[in-house]
Amino acid sequence: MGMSRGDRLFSFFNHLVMIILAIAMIYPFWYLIMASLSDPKLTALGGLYLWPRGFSWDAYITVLRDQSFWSGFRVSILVTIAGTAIGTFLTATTAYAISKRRLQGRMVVSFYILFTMLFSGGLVPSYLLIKELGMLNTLWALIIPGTLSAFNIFVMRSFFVGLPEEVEEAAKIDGANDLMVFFRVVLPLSKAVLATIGLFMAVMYWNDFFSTILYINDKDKWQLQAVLRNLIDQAVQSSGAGPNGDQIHVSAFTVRAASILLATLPILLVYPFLQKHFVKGAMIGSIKG
Amino acid sequence: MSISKRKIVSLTLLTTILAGCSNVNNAPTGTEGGDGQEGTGPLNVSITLMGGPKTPDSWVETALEENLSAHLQRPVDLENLFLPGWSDFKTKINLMMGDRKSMPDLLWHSDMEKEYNSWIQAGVLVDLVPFLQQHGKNILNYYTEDTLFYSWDDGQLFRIPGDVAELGSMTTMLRKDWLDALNLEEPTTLDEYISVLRAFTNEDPDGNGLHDTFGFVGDHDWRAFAPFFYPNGVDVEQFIVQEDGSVKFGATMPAVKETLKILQELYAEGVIDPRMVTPNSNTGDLFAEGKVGSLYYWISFLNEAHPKQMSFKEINPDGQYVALEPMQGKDGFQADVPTDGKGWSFVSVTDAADEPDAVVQVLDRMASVEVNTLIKFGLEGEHYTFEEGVFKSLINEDQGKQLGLDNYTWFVTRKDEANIRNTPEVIELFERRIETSQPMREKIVFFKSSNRPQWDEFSADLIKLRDETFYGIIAGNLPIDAFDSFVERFYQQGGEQVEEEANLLYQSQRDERESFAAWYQENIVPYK
Amino acid sequence: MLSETAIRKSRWKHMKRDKYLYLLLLPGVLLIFLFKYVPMYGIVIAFKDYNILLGVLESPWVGLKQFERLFRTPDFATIFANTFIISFYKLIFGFPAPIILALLLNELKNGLFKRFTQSVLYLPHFLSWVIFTGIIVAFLNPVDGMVNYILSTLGMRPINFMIIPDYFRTLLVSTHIYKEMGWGTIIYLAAMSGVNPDLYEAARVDGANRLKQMWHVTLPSIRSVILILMILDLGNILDAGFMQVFLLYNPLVYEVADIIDTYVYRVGIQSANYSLATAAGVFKSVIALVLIYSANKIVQKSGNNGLW
Repeated sequence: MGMSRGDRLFSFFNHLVMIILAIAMIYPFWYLIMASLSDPKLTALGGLYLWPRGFSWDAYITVLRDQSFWSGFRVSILVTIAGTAIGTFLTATTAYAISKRRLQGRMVVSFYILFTMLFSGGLVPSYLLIKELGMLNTLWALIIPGTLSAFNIFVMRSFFVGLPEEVEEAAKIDGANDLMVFFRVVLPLSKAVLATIGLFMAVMYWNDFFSTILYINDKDKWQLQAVLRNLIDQAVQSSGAGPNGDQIHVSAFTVRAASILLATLPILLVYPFLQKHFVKGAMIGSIKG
Repeated sequence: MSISKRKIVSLTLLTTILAGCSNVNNAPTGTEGGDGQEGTGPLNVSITLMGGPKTPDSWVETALEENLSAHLQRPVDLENLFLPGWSDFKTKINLMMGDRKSMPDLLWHSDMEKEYNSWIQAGVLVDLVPFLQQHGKNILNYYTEDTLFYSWDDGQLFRIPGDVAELGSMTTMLRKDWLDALNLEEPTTLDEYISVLRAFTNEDPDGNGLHDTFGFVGDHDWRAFAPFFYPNGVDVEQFIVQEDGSVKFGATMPAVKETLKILQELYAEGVIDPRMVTPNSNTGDLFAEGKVGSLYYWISFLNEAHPKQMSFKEINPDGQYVALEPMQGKDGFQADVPTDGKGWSFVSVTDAADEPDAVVQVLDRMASVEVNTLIKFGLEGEHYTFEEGVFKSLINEDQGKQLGLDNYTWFVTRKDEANIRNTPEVIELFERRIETSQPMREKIVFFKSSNRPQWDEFSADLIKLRDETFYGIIAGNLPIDAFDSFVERFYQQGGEQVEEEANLLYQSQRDERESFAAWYQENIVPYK
Repeated sequence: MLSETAIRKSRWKHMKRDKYLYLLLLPGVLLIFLFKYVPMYGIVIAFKDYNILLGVLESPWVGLKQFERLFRTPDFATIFANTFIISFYKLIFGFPAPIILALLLNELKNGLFKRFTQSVLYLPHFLSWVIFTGIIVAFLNPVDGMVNYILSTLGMRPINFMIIPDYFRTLLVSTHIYKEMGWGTIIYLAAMSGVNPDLYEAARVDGANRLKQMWHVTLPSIRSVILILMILDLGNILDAGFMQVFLLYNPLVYEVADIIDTYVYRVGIQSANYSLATAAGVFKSVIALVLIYSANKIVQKSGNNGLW
């Protein structure tokens, strides 16, 4: 199919804009890559622009040898997978129910959910609750409290509202009840939004460090981001001097950069796998198929 | 990639709401299921460690446990509770302290005066006096009378300092090689100092043909500007005793205006590194980079084994920093920045400890020179060498971290001969700075009490007003006369009440110190 | 007119009919109750003088004292205005940015370039503000940052971007967009995947070019998602981005950068005043609730799907 001249011009500029943006978006990561590969002795020199200063893999070796890094890695993977699975499912069931106009009490429930987006009781009551539930110092404390967020529910709901009524009606005529419609018709049709919310949840769980701070004491149950935060925090704080000038051990800048990169890589790899659900016409395709 | 200390302290404080201690009062009486007989069986001590997860079961932990077991003649097992780093440790401590079951035996805390007072009121901290009298020789001999005063609670001690800085821990530093290159004398007065800084900026001291050096840099805090404020006898962050015996907030004193004028000129001329007016630069790195002629910074950075000093030598093989005596003002006044002897972090024993006297024994052992050296530097020959007073590390920073070398720091950190990293010159410098900081120590009021309602009420606004005005003047965004309206607004916006409170406290603190001195003679001196 | 019992009866009948929907709703409602509503009593400390020793329930009531304290702050008007202006700019410029970007991305042919670009655009989102601002500051550094390096090679004087009040809000808004724009596209791309390709075909037959297709086909089909996100975003109108502002600001730009959250943080540090922090939170949330509620009303009145 031939393109009009205007379309070709548009396409050219579109590609150009994307390339420029892509470079801009890569730059912060490139900066960290440069830093992580630099010679640690030379990182005190300012002005890191386009290439590493010196070259060394030492930073990566240091991080990969660190046991707390690996244990954090395991915990984060487990928490992210479990939390995302449970959370996405529950978000979908809740959102589907309130997407039905005919449901009695739908507005009350919606407001009930919205209210939690704006008001929260703070840390202490949450901590006491987790303690009462016997979840302190367990991975459940990292997984369960974060499963539902008002934002995700409302976004998912807006997608469900947009689903074509006819498909569901057709299934009902065939004798399906609401449960069957939800599982057999609605979920398969909603891969794009499930992928979206799933991604949001995965990233939320992966980046969470605060739950560790609140609920975890055992050193082998720290989430990776909590381990990382500590590493960066300490270095940012001290520039080689403790609060009163005494010298403490601080990770080299190169090691910090390498840790950030290694800790971010796994979650970056999730998106390309979900990408096929974002392809144009994906939903219609699945109706037909 | 760095943000100053001030920015970090507790990012989460905003959302933090502290733990209720409601469970504390109905906690069980009597000891809960201690293992074995008291005093002879294995001793389990839970201890909060600052700075996040380290290598599990680190080398240091084992070494320390062995040492303690040998000394106490019973197996000692340390149960480490890692605090999550500077941003969040207060949140965690508050949650832990909310319930007796989650309290550590040995609690490390810092900058939590309000909470500390409520723990005392709730009766969850142990008075250490009797135990220190029995087992605390190392601790009692190390801390001075003045230091213990700040932790004294009317006859009781519910905490001891975990770390007290050297009484003068900062100094003016100057590039000696630059002085020589430009044929300049070491400055002794503020005026000479300023002309040296100008020369460092404009006369290409590193001889690279580029106009790429600065005269002066430092952290984004007022302490860093001490070489300019102190010759005039002012400190803009402290309450200063005036000639008539009253107390005034330093920032409002007339001498400040002159100093700000000088700083404004130097900034405009490019003598002051522009990175200094924002809190985003890492002074340690600028120190190492070697493009700056002078700073007011930590003495410890002059140790040859300090990583930043090593980095500096690597980048500038011929470079040399020297420490200068404080600059003299017009009337000959000179002083270095004095540290309060109070300590910045503290250690308490909680009521959760089954055997508080054994816990104090552990603490006192940790306060010994031998253990201090072991947990901070490792083993001689294996991790470091120490020849003719010169310490040389055999491992790098990250190896040190993995061994756990900083895990148990700030539980009575000794600054004396136990800190073997200090070279003889640095030790001498620390000694000298005690003297040179004395003139200002006599002028500054360090408050003991944390019960300062007026300060709590107004200080955030007043500090903002000060910083906004002073940095604005320095960077040239505001004219120098902005200082006058600052003083006016300062007193309108609560400065009046704050100073009144400061004066009252200053008086009552003097009385308290007298009764402390008597108590100290009776209860501590005989047990030293 | 139906009698009350009749209404009740029909309501009961409806509920019975929808029993499976309620079953789907139940776990979510229970979880929200347990983890969000049970701890909600903590809000009362906004109306108390919170004392750690006494705990949440036993601390003395002080009514609206904490709110008065907040409003009495000498700079409250400035701080409130800063908060509002910064987040308003973020909304005005930051909200459309991912929509436009998603529309452009949607026009790329499915292929390696598209997949690559998509995966790259959202990279900055994954860096925490601490790291991201660190890189921004290094980039804009007046002495050896890349921007000033370029300026000085061009013979211009270096600029200390961080201390110029006129630039600061622009810096906040642009770095916010820089960091979150790509991530924001994901929702819209998901919505666009639901558009029926036949619609584009029809538009093409009618002679619509790419821009027209974007305007007349793609945009209308994601309208409901845009509206929902807009309503939810209004809830953040008093959240100007604490971490970002806190890490970037300095005394020289306080007049344009100090926001409610940074102010409360500083007061909190000085005096461990947790009640004040909570009061500020409640104040912000109430305003947000009013805004969301009204925005939702307006959206529904105009014949669109709102939040419920």
